[in-house]
Amino acid sequence: MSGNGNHKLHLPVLQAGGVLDAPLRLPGAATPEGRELPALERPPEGTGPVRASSYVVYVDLPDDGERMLLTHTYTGAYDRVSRRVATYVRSLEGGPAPRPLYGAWSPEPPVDGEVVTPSEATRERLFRRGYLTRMTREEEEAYFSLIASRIHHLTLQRQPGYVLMPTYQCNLRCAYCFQDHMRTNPAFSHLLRSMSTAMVDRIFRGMDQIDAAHGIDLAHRPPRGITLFGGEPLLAQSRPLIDYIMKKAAESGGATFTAVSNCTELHAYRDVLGPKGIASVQVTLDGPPEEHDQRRIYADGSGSFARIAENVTMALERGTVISARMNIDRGNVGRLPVLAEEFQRRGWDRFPNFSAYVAAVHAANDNVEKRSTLDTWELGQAIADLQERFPAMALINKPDSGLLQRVRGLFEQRADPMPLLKSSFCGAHNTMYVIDAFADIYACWERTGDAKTRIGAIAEDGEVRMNSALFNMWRRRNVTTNPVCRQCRYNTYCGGGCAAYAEQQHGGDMFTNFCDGYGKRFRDAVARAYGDFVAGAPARQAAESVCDM
Amino acid sequence: MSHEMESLNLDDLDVEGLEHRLEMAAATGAMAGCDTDICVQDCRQNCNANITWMCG
Repeated sequence: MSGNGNHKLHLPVLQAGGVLDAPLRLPGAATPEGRELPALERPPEGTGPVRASSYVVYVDLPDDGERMLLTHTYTGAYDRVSRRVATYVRSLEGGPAPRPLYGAWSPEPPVDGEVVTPSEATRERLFRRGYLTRMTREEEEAYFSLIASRIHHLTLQRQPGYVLMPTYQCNLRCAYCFQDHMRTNPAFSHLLRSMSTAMVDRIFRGMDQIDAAHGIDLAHRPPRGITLFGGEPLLAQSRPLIDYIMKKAAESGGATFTAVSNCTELHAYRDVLGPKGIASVQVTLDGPPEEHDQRRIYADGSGSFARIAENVTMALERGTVISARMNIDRGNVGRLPVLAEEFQRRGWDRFPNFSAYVAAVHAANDNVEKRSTLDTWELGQAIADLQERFPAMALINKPDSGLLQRVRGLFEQRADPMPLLKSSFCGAHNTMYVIDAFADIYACWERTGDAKTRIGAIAEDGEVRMNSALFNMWRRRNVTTNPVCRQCRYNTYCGGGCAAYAEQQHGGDMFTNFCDGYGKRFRDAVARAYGDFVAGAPARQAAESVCDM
Repeated sequence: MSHEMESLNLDDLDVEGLEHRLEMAAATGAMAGCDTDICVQDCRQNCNANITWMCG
């Protein structure tokens, strides 16, 4: 990232960038304004007239003209209501969404039909589940902020997740790689050193301190979650180092290992692949073989598909979970059916531990034209269209398939969604510690390799020192820290979107929103989850968890 | 419950019980965690960095 003039994304670097000025101390419980966070009392009675809560989502059901679903952002209620009731609630909306949301939100379904007041019992129920309130918009926003701040505080305390980067070195030379400059510009060659075993010892001492800061009893420590990332973490030459890391982890309470790997040299790890070793690997395939081999290339320009595919088959046979990711834009979306057929031809569809999914390419650097990209909603629509025409496409998960499955699970188990509600977008804002070969600690794995952007470091004696300004900046970002997210009715599912993209879209300000069509995506996923639930469609077979955090 | 309105998840969910429900979720370690492969998948699909099962 740093030093690569092609990149539009820049991590905020404070004046004090790089300075380690404080021991590790998690941010305290605080309101968005920095005041001490009070306990959640019952919601205020409110001082206004009865109105629809600002946090109601209205979900149209495509095959049901009589009913709709209502869901509520902070109470977690999901209800099927007659259109008459939905129209009544919508008639009590206090005008259009607040101004900051224009342009960021997708429009809600329109109000239709005559407004009829429902029975008193239904009205009482609408109040109890949060859809109706006497709180003014401002009072409710303040109450929501308390709830979300409480969720964020609890989330910050959870068990940390570790990403270890044994090296920034890689054996491929993909033109679009965000770390390309490290391998092609001699000024960055110092970054290509691999982690030493002494450094592993130092990092594990530091992880003890981080665990302790998160309130973990070191004598009864649950297994850690460790993701191996690079560069390429599973180079054949790194095998002794990876063995040492796994041994250290086993000696300190155990760990679940996952890896993000290009899989070109995975054969060197055959005996440690599987549920008790490296349990899960994510690999990127850039299309059918001939297309992939134009993009994911070795330094001599040769392609990598055949070698990767052999290793994927081997890993699947060993019981490792393989997640194949395809980065998709307008140019390659039409090639997906050919790739799906390739998966079938190789028999990967017969393994329950194989899954494939797509992600939208974003215009994150100057090599990517904005007009060539799809947003995540558009990508989902394109995949749905392909799935109708090509049976093999059933192998490829649409975006938001995880959300659909979680919501369906709520319906099937009649469960409380509180554990699913989130205050921030990803681990960069709560419990993730990305540690590189120099024992520098970063919040976000895409923002590594520049000591000026580190949130902390582990000293030779294992002491963890933090850059308190950067650490607090990353960990404070949540749905209450910008007005758009704070007022958004999808916020506890979206979490505010990726900080890096938000920053790019809003002139370098991380404390902003990145919506990516989330409103439409959420309503579509909830409607589909309900449709599957009612139809009794088979749920996806749950694979083994790859994360114990 | 009436034909006008039927809950699809917790039937006795009440806006007044939020603190208790938050504490319960935190106590079980489930708060916003990636406890299942579903959460893991959801997180990865939404992550900018081509990765992420360290979900928020």
